[in-house]
Amino acid sequence: MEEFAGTYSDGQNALALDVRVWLGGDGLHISGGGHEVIWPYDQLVSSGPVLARHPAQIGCKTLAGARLHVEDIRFAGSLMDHAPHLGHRAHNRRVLAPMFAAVLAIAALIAGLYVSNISIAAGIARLIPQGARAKMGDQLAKSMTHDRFCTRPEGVAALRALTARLKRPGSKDAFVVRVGKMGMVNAFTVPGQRIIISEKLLDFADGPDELAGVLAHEMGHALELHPEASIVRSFGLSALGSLMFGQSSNMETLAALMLQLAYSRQAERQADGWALKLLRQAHIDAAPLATFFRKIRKKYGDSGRFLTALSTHPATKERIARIEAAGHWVATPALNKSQWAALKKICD
Amino acid sequence: MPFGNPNHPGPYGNSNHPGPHGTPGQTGPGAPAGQPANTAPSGQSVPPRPPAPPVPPAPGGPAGGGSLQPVKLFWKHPHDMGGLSFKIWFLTLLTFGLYRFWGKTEVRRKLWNAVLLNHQPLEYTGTGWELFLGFIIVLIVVFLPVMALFFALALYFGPDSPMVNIAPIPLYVFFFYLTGVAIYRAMRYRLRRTRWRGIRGTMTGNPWAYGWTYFWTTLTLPFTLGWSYPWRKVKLAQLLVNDSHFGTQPFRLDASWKPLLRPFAAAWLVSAAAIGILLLLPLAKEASLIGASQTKEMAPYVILGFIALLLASAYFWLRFQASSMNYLTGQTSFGSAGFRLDVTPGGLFMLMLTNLLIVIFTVGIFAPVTLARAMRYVMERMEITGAVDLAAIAQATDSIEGMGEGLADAFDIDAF
Repeated sequence: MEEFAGTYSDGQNALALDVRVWLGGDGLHISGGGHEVIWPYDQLVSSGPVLARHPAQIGCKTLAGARLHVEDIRFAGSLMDHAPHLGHRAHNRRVLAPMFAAVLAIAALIAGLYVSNISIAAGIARLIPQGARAKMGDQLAKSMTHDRFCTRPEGVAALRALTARLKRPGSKDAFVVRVGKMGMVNAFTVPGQRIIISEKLLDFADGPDELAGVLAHEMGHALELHPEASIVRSFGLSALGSLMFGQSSNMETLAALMLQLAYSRQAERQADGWALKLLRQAHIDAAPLATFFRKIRKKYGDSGRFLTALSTHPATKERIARIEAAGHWVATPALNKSQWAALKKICD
Repeated sequence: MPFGNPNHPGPYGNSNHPGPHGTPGQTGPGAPAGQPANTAPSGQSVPPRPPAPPVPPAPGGPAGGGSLQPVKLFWKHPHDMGGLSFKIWFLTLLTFGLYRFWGKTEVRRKLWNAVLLNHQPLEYTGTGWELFLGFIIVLIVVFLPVMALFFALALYFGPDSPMVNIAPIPLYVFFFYLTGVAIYRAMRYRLRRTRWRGIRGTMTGNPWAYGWTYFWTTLTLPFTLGWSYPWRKVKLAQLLVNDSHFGTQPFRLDASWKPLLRPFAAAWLVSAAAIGILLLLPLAKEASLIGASQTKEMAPYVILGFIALLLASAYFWLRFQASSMNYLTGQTSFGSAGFRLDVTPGGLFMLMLTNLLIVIFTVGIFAPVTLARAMRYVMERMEITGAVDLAAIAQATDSIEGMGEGLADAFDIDAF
């Protein structure tokens, strides 16, 4: 049996004892100073992997702080035959495998939340008080439109009338709908039930019923707290980013990210559902909304990249079909002719 | 039963069991990571150490008077730091950055192992999980609330409102205070996970007290135009060193700021001259003390002179750095042993320059290589003088915190 020279410290003080070490069938035999002790192989530990052809330093699980140091580089190789759990491969398995598992688990969790419709963000969004939501929404609306809103009183009155008509009767909803001077066909909802319709969209709409449909759809987003949830979500994502890469990201990127965040198909379906419900109870025809979607689709295609919010509305056949299948109900025009004319001129 | 039989509970008990041994519930150095939370049975009332088991007579003679031994320090440069650097870089990329905690641990294990004291290496027993856990806790307790606050402020007042800049000021002040706390905690974490012959280090003071001193001494710098710097440096070093222990034996730093004043004054005056000239030149021109034709003639000399002054001030700052390192190390003692360090401004300059080039040419991937080089430079110039009573150094008995240096990580304070 091959013997190795080593030094032993008992972990009680900093003295070292010269010992002889050999690998027995029952464990590591250490003898010196007239005594002998056996460390069973399965009790051996080391702070890093024991590398072949390197000096080895090992401890014993039940003897906190005790250390055996063997300078002879042949020792580590022989030890591996008896205690492979100290080796490089076992070390990786024990230490790194859980880390990679954690990475995969985080990825799976994100994917799972995305696929399923459980939204943690929506739950948190519900906790934000209405006053704060309104403030947030006003700030976002301001920065998105560079604070350029259309304010001709007749137009504003018409828009207010349309909003009041679409509102759920008896509800506490406090929608604030404004027309903003933006260079794209767009309508978007920001927190606090704030809805902004672009001047271009107003031009693009043929008749008040089309506009009413779009507005009802946006109200659906507001009622479902989609904008609030998307802010919470982007905040969570950037927190996750800082977890992965260290340091925090800056707020401007975050705000920009929020504006670009697409609503999921599920969210769009919910908003469409609300649109049909609100239009029906306001006695406004839903078919023009389908027409509007069709026009958008013709102009920009399905995967339209043309704007931030509406483009994420996949104006697919499916959605158009759903609106058309909703049936018809007794309806009157959303606005009378003079109101519509006034609204069209709101930006003049 | 000379060493304690591992199969027998004996006086040592099981290491995970709060037995009467010195380090209650301490995680074995190589125990599976991820369970660092099993630290201490609340640390209080550690029962007195039982009569030590029969220690076999040490080679130096009977324990007590005759165990004074010289300790020789030797640096054995770690093998293949470049390969390790690449591996860490690649795995960090692959895991969206998470591997960095494990990479840091691997690097430290190699660097610690390269320090040999009487032919026996230092051992680093920290784990990647501990660093990761510390980071997560700081993220949740400090960074997420702060991010949420900034976000809410920007949304509430609008991104251009002065409130966005004014409201977080108390927070910045608090962060500044936390910086000192983070420095202390990071150093304590490392010491507690440093072992030699199984004995580990520790720090016994209060991180918050250090944080406070760090905070208010920094505030003195602007009021003294920087002249309080040597005094502050010595004061902070003393707080850290005098709290440090290896096992039960404390380190001691007996130092004064006075010997550092001369090298500091030289560096300060040369830099002040460089800055002064830089500021005065345009003024002199404006006051037409120097004519246009003169300016043209003088330009090359002025530029050369300025570069010379800049190099001179760099040299004098390195000289201050070298002399304070040498002085503070030389004034440190460990029982009856002392230390000696002999670094030079030129050596520091070459080290910094070459390390900078390495970082630049490997886009930062080889940062571990530069760490090893810096540590080699210092270790090869350090010496332990006198002798140490090794038998008198008993195991540290405080409990080890279960998580790593999240705070330091978050503030990007990193010595190793």
